[in-house]
Amino acid sequence: MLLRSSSMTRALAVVAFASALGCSAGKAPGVGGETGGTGAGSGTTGNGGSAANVSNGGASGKAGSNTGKGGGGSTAGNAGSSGNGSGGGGSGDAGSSGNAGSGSGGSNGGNAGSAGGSLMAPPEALAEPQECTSNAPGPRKLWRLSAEEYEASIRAIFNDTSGGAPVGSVFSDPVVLGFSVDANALVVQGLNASQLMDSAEAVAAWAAQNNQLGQFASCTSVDASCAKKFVQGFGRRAFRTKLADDDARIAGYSALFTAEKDFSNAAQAVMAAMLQSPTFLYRSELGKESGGAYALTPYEVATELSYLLTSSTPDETLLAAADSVAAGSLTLDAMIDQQTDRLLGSGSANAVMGFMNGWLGLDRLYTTAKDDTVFTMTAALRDAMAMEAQSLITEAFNGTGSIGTLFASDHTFLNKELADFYGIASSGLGADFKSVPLAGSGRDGGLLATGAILNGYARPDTSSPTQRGHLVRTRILCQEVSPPPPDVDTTFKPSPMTQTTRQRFEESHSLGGCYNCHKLMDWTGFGFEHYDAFGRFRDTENGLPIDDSLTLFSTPSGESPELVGLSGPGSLGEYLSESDDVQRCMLRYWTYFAYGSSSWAQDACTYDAIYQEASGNGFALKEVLKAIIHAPNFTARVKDQ
Amino acid sequence: MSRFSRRHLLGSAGAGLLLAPFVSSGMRTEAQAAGSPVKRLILFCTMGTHPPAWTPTGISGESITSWSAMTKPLDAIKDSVVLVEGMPSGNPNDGHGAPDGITGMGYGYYNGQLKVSVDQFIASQLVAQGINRPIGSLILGGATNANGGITMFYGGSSNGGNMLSTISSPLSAYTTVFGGALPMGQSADGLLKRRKSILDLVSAEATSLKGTLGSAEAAKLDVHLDSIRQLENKLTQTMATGAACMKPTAPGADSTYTHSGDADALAMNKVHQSIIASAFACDITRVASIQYGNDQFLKVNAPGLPYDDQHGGFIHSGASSNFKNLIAFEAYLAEEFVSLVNQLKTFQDPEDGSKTLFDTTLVAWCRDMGDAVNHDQKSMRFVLASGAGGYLKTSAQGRYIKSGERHERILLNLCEAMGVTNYKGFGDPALPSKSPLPGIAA
Repeated sequence: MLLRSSSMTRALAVVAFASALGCSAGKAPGVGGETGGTGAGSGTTGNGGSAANVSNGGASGKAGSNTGKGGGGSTAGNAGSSGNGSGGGGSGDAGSSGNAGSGSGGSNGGNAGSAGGSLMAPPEALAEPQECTSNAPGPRKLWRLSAEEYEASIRAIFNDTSGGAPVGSVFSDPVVLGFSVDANALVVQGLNASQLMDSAEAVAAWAAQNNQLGQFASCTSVDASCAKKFVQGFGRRAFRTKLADDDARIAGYSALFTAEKDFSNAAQAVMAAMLQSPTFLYRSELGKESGGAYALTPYEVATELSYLLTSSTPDETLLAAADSVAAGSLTLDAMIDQQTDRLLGSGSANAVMGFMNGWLGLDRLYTTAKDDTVFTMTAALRDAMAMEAQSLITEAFNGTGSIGTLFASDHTFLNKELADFYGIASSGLGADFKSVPLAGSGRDGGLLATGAILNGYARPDTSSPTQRGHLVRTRILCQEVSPPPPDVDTTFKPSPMTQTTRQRFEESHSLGGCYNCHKLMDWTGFGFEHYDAFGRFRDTENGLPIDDSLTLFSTPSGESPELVGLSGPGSLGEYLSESDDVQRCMLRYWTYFAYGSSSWAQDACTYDAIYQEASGNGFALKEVLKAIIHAPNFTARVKDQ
Repeated sequence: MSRFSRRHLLGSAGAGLLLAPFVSSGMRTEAQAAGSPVKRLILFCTMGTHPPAWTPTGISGESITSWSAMTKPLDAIKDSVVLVEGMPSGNPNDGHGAPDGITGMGYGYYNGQLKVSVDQFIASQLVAQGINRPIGSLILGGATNANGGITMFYGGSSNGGNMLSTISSPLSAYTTVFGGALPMGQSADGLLKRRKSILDLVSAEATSLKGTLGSAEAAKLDVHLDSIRQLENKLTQTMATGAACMKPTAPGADSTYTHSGDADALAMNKVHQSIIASAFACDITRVASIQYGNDQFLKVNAPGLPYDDQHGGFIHSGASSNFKNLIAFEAYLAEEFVSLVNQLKTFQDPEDGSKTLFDTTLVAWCRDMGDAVNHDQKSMRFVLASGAGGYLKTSAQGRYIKSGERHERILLNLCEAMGVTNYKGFGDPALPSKSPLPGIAA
């Protein structure tokens, strides 16, 4: 049983109705499995939804996507966020904090090369914060580079901006809680070592054939002196640290070097080895022990900073700063602040979009199926919608905007094509995106009313109040919604009657036990009903007027068990922009994204520290990120168990 | 394609592609459990389906007299297939992403036992029997992590019972199976020596690092070291180089596929299937699997079908069109299943030139759910196929079996077919009848 933090508890309220409230089997046919897509839930319903893309390159390197598991799960194991999920029929799959990997093993009849340890299972849901009693940071850990980080790191090592290096597609990273960052899920297993060898050899051969070797050492002999220089030169970039003259690792790599007959092969041997080394493949967050505590080294901190802000390996400037800290000529805090400002000052979207894509599932824009017989979403239109969302987010991030600013924005970013699609006057617009005020346009403001959200959380041909409400509940308010119980017919059934989508969902989900969970989603999602499956504004549907009034039942803080009077995503966005629950929820997901761990002993200490600093800066997005970086967990650890 | 290709695998080594780390041994023979006609297993893994549209429309006794539209393509290999349905899993309430499909274990953990899928269990048992091929188990499938979905494969004690990913990239799969390019100026022997030195070094690094960690973090390096051991095994095991051994054309980089992403899954899997057939022909592995999509997402990009997600689109939005698109896509999958079988027929068995690969292979179409529309596993279904003199009892018109026994028993049939008859450590330890389903084997 996890303990609750005094301050973070509300952000992780679990709407646990499943034990008694399931839709009656066979009695209440739903209008469709609607919410297969927002990874927070341990089986947050399950069908129908298609979720965000795993990667779209560029700024969204870390973002994966999200989908709940176990949509057909039964009552067991689903109700509690920290439930164990075992037992017949439960879909909890070891629950959010279960120790799925802690079984003894050894009874499998001799699996080849069976390992002795117990690999932890990645979480199925965010666990409740564990009480802070001694202001402790998290445990030490190894954190394998994600697929995107692996490729980006190798290209950065060689300054390969043209993409010429034949970096192999080695990892197929699992998506956990909407992101491909979970330190327990990212491992090297099965045939990965073979793939890594092939990739490393190919890259090394490419480097030798493309005059890349001189950047790591100026010598070209195969003697011990040149070996040491090359190992130190390439090792600095590959291992993200300084290899001092007395570093014990130099000998092994130098031996590989001097065993070869010429410099090219010698360099290839060293590069291939280092690119297969655990020192390259894992981000070390182990630190140096002192009095029972572990202080991360300047290089480990530099590495944290670089991957968090750039999704790639530290550049030479950052490594040089770490050198200065190691030499005592710069404080660690100064390095962190100076380098954070430098890396954020470049205006890169990486620092924020990787998180936002995963948190809000923005890439669903590209993966949610659409019915071309209703409307054809062109690639250009999708790209424009993605740019609209990114522009809003980066505007807020690079200014002083908060998540509230985003949800309550009074303008958006459009080019002519998207403005025409939205039915907004496009005079003065061309291919480039410009800020366009929304007052008088008829469309709602705020991120929730962008095409990326509206398309991503919809069915192929119709809107989906369930999916849109589920987004708000699970990702923005951090409330879990239990999946439908077994035996419920979740097939989407078109209505023979002339109805609005809202009427159809009300009719189907007001019945039996369905209502108890669907009221949390549909009755929130009804607020989006002025927007169809493609994000087009509508006043009527099937000739009937749109009703976009919404009801928020059971907010996390509980002060508004039935909040009424809101209508439209703009109105909902304004409410959310004022919500402390939203800030806490976003903070929690961002912390997970930044640290790759969703739960650890006394993790409430970290969340509380971040909340306190961020709140002092108005929860400006950039300040939230800085607060994560300033948290004790960023520079210190406790012993891992 | 001719029945038997005579193109030598090593014949292409001169083109610069490396297989040299494998020691040539010519036509090889290796022990398989006595009495088992099957030496190889392929799992063809997909989502569940819509049962009313799958079940053959005409059945007389155990013979299929009329195929459903979904299964119609199987008519082309009807004398080799057995369709099985009706078998409940141990956890009939399991739904989405049900690991029960090929582990027999459901979401729960039985008495601390870790989930292991049948392919991994068999692969480990073959090693225990002394059948040690360069690759113990090959798991392929394009874009199987799309949208956060999960595969059907679990590693048992080798990885703490966690899920295993597929190799998504055809190029990476090809290189993993058949080797990469030989660096300029490097001999095969020299490269092998270098590789061993490198693996010794990185293994020592990992082992040293592991010693500084607690058990949870050390477990990551245990899994890593196991992966290195698999590579070392690959580098030292012999492979067949007889007439049957033929590798497919090297695929292009992932970026050369039309969409460079999820929508290429089907195109990638066509290449993966060829890689599996050739890997068998060269006896590089005995156990291979191919996964189509994952438990809840597969972007379909196939002729005659809308560009849509199999699960969200065809399965859960299919009722309004009587599942027209799902039926068409299931037929596509059945065609791919037949294509895989036909590919196996074009190769010689590497140990017995009088047989085709298909004669010594069991192909099993497995699913994570029975009824995907309703997310249940009350009636799991399989398509099994084996060649002449193979494991299955077949009939000329196609054989149909309906059974109320637990579906794990079919998984035990797969074990039995591969000569694995000690089932301890696999599946539900409380399974009442821990034995293969009678009547499946010839």
